[in-house]
Amino acid sequence: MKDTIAAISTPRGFGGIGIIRMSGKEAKVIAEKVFSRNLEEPGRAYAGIVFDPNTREKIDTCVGIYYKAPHSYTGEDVVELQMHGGIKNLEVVLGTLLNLGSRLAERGEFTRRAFLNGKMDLLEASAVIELIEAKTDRALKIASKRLFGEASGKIDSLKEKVLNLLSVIEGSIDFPFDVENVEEEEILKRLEEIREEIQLMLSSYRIVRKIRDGVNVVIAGKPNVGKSTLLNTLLRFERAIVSETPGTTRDTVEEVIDFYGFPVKLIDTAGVRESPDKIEALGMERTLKAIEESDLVLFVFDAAETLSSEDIYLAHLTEGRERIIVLNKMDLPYLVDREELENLFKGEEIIETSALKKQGIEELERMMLEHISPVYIEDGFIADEREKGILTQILGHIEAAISISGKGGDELIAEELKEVISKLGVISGEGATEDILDEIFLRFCIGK
Amino acid sequence: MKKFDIIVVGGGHAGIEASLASARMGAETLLITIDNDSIAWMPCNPAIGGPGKAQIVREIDALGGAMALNTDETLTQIKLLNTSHGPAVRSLRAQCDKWLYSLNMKRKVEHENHLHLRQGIVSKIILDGFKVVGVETQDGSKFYANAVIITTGTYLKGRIYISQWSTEGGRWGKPASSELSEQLKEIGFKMSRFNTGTTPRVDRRSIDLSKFQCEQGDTQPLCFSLWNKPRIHENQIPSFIGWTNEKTVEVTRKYLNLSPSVMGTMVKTGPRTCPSMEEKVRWFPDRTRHQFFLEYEGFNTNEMYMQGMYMSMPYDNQLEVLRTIPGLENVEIIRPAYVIDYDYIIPTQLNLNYETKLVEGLFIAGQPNGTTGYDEAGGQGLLAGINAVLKIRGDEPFILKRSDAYLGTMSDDIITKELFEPYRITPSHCEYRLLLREDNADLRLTRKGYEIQVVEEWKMRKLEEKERMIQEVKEALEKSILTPNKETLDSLKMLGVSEISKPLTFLDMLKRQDFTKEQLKKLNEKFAHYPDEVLEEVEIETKYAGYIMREINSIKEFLQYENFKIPQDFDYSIVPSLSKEGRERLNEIKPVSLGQAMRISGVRPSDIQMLILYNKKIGGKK
Repeated sequence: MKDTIAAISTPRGFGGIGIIRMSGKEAKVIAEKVFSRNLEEPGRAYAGIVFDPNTREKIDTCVGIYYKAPHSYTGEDVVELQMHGGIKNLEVVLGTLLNLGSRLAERGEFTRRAFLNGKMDLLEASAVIELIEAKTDRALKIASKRLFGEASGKIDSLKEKVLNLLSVIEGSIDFPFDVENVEEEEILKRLEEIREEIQLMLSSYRIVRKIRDGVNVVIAGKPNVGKSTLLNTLLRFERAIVSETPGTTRDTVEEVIDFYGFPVKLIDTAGVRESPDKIEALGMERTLKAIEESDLVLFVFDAAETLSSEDIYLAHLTEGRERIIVLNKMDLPYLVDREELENLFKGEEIIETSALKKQGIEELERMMLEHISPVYIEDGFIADEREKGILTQILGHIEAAISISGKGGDELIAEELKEVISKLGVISGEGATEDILDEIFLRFCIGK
Repeated sequence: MKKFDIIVVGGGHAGIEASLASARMGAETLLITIDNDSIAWMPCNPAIGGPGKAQIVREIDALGGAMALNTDETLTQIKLLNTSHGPAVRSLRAQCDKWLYSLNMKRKVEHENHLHLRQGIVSKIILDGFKVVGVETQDGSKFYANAVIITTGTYLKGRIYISQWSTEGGRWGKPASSELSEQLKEIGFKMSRFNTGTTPRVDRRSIDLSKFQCEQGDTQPLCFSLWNKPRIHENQIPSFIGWTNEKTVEVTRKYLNLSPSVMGTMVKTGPRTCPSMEEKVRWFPDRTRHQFFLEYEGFNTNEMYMQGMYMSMPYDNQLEVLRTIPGLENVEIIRPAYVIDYDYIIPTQLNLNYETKLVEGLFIAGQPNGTTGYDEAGGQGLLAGINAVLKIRGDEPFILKRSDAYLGTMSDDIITKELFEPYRITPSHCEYRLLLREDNADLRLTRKGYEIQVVEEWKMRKLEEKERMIQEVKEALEKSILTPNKETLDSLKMLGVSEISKPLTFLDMLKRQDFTKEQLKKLNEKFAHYPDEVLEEVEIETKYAGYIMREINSIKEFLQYENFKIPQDFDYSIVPSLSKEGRERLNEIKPVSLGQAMRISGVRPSDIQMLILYNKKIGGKK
């Protein structure tokens, strides 16, 4: 029934080593048909040769390892053939394995089997892809923690709390003589604690998303307020990491930095040209779009100039967005009307910097961090939309239970709690349907 | 030599419902009991009902059974429990006069057409290959029938213990039924042992009852049977609540090593929900205050039952423990507490119709299936009785699903899951309890029972009348509109109902928490003509509409798996990649549906995935 699957598990290209992985009942038998050694002892690395079983023609040297079920990645019999990291040699051997009765693995199928065989739950399985795609140390840390079950543990402990409350209610329903009735206030208190915990998990999700997927920080302001200098200063403070877009275009500069573990994409909206009365349409559009897609705007002013109509226009444009007001060029004679500025930003804090002299930058960074991550979190309990969606539903059930409590319908609170428990199970993958699994594992590449 | 249709072995609560059901369905039924003077005897607490149990009693009643009627006729006290938790888990509980209960039931049995009584001890069943054809009693008499139902309670190799002393017995003073147990083992049934206990019976005259909290029965109109009219019960007798103290616990601790389960002479597995005093001290070492009840055993007796004070230490020590409690300083024990252990047949060897997989025509119900409680026994007896007759008729079995009844939940639990202690039903066993309430047992089950002739004609007519009235009330509620004029607002205020600002139907009103059937009756007199149970039905359905809809949807999902049938001859060894334990359990239990397979302990979700895939491949029925 469960056929044997095979795939090249290392990236396509030239490298030191290339691995073909096979999983399923026939893995060992098939492997031994192309490999010169018998893979008798599980876990042992056998050095040998891979050859074409028909022509007996040698293809490559190879190290073969056999992992016996259930002690393998997938929980099934697994064989790994480690060869040289070429393209053709791996393809030829894989083709041979497929001809011998295995079939090409689908995306994420190895991990999917690991899940189906109980080697990992869904939270752990989805951590595999997060681990591979982690862009910063912190993203890696969060993915690792999930991989090693911390998120699952958190879900379990939440489940335990709910179960505990449920059992108290059920106990008083089942055994009215033996179990003392729980006080309504006590039930409410515990429901509220659970609600708080879920809310925290949901709010941490926004931050986890940022750690994983990155944050767009737009530096806005009219020309010559020191945006580029500010960008460079921020770049110099942090190690620049892989940037997917080429460094500069004619109009904008984008750089990705590892900002306290957040992949922060700094976008300088340089090149927005204004005429004294009219902001140019094209530049405006571009700035608008960048601001629209931003997670945070650094709104830069020139301390050595009075406020202009563009300043005021941009101020209104960015109103209501996450933004930091940066009063730059503090090293020059102070000309801006402070009172006017404060009126414009009613109560928002104004950070004074000199990008050129690197003054006030630490303060700016502190503010940026506060905006990006209002609370410090180390753990990514939930990390994708699916989990967030379920958790939001769970929150709804807890809210419903809270609204019932005190109205003499414990049995309905119990119903809500049972829903919560079954949905917590769904998060970790209990009773996951094919469709859900497809959706999750299609994020994977072949060979994972 | 007379041949019967059905033979029922044992005249306890399971045996009574089994034989009455079978006789009601027209089958010539023989009931063989060890002692005809103790038919439907309540050797432990003479109480019927309680959470979960009451729902079962009502379901038995809805299917024409005798338990609820007999309770109404012999109760000494009745209470509606769990009223603060909401209508679905509300449960009746009644104390009965234990002698009257037995006597009254004996009369019912004696007056049932097609039902024949014999006193005797069945020593073995008579087999023709792997089919049962009759039974033989110790005196050598043989009785033949097409089906045999075993309802022998704790009698299978029962052994009674008080500390070091022990003797064979089905209960105090009654012989055990050991040969039958041996034979079942020989045939190949897997058996195990459970224990249970009972409390001391104390002399009312030796107790200062003023030292205890007096508990009166309810004064509102109540009745157990759906076929009776609720009435106010006069002349109920009170029970009394007391508490243990530090001294009680100290003395008990002193004698712990005298308890047979500690001494290791007896099997340790008893009902965790009824811990003995010794167990309470061992399990909750920090607690000294344990609640117990003093309850009369009947109208005409000074014997009182001490619910919560199960013990197995010697008589003198039992006295010493009890005498630490204020009010019991001079207590005299009439009958000491004791424990009993007994054989049961591991119930996964049954089909869902209570027939054994091993021997055709052999049915088992009640405590021999590892359950505890009169109510649970009665329910299984009823189902076994019905199914034995259906089997003889060659008709489809009568299987209640988890979504149909507490009875269905219990059956599925004991037949599908592994038992780790004697099984007692409670509301938390039941996933669909908002729908499976004690107030609607008739609406759920009576028609089904009528279709297989286990429910009498007049009950069916009464059900139809109730259904008609419910429909009428629902329609009237939708049509009657309450307008917020001065008169209405005044009466609402008087009735303590919050104001309305726009015209509302009475149905909308009834959805409110502060508007009940009582206010409805007062506000619009046309509703006052309907019986309370009709209005109550409508009120619950209206108030719980959202939750009930949710439950109906989850039942739909549940039924998808229940209706995914697996053939009985399906060979699990040919399905690749099943887990080892899963395969063993599946082969052993032979679930009838994918749904049942999912509930078997040891079967993993991945096994279920494999079964789905495999069944798709071989074109399994969906």
